[in-house]
Amino acid sequence: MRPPVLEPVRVPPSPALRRWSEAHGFSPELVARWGAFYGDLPKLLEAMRRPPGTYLRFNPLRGDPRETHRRLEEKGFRFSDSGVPGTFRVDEAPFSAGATEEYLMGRYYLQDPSSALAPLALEPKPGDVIADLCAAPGGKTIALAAMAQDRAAIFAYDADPARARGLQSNLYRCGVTSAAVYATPAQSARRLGLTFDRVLLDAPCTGEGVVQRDPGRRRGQLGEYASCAREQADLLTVARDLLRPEGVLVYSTCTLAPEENEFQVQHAIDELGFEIEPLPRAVQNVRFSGQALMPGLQRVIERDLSPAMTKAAHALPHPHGTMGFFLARLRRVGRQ
Amino acid sequence: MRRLSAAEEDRLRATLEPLDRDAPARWKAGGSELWTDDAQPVKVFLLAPNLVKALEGTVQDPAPTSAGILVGHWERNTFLPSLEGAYELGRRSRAPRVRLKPKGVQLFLYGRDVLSESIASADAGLHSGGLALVANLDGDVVGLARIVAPLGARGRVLEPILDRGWYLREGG
Repeated sequence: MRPPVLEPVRVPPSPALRRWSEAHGFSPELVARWGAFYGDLPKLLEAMRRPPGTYLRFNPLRGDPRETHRRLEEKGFRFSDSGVPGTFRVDEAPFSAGATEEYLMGRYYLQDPSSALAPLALEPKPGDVIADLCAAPGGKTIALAAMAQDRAAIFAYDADPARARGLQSNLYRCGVTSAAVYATPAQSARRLGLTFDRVLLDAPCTGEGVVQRDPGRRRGQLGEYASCAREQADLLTVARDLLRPEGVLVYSTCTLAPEENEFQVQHAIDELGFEIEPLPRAVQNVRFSGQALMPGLQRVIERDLSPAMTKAAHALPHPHGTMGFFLARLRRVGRQ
Repeated sequence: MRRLSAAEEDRLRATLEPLDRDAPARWKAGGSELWTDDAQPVKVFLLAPNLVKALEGTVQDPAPTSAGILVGHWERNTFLPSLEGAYELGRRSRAPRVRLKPKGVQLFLYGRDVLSESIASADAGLHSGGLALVANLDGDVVGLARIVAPLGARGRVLEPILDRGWYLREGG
């Protein structure tokens, strides 16, 4: 098996770009890459410096979403559509949306709408056996459980004990009875002796897509890509080992880096026996700020990727007004 | 992690007598099951039927740190319901409860004692020294309290044992 591409794509920043980046606290090497991959750099950077909105997803496991909506409106909250079914933007909040009685009752979960795409793409059903390989803090796990009406079996992993405790606590608060939490690396799922119908791999990444929430990430270094890419490729192999033939994997990240997105999907297609398939209609129909998701890149500087990469999708800060998010739906082909 | 034995379930039923003796059976409605780990303290979890089915087929190496929702844990011979145990008792059983006015709920969620004027209504059968589920006006259980004075008395009548404000203070 050939290893994934670990060498980062280098785009030399122009002197003007270097000056601007340094003045605004961005790493010039990152900014130059973003411009080369996604274009319209001024708009992208402006969007990245805008404060992020607050979004929530109602949790039907803890009460009728319409009733939760009504109770919050009575308290003075106002909402608008986020573009993703079941997820809303908080337009007005008399106090923090993370401190209401309804939040404490688990009637909703705070989650960016781009993150809500991954569970939607996996299409969990009652009776499915699902692995969520990097599950903390749990927003996507809760969404998976809710979509399967708490009648799936979800095996949720996070190797960091503190993060696993947070995951556990969120699952309890939201009334999820169909998930088991493992405070161990996802690799340990191989020892369960189970085959899975679906796997969600929301992979650890450099997090370039969340600079609005975490400005520290503006100073990311190219060297970080290789270690993230190595871990992502390893986790993709774990996902392949866990899935039954024809089982479905959703691979997602919150980064803009092709080394962690399209290159990983290409590796999964070329080396791990996956094929990429179209995202479900519910995801294709999503519009953020009136815009459809951006298809995956088919060419990155000098490197051509599978033409099927357009079946993957990006949500981006500038056309969409969301965090940066990438997702692809893959199917494991071949026999056991 | 394993299924609760019949003897353990009997013990659970007995200790939940003051709230609702039939709580374990009600928790298990719809095919859900009660499981336990053998960690210290010993915890009890409520699991959905399909999770039970899948877990039964696994090698528990390592075992999960949690499965389903935690409904409580044993402290010596007493079973202490967790926040979700109390919530599920409220949702699935007739355990007696005190309903608080909105301001009272707010204070209770800060871990504060409840004064009698915060009480909107209370079920029959609640008495000093006993336990009561604490609910909002919609009937959602927001915690568990000890009754420290007759509910009609002036001043402090409930002392919080568990309140869902914990999720903000410590829950992550």
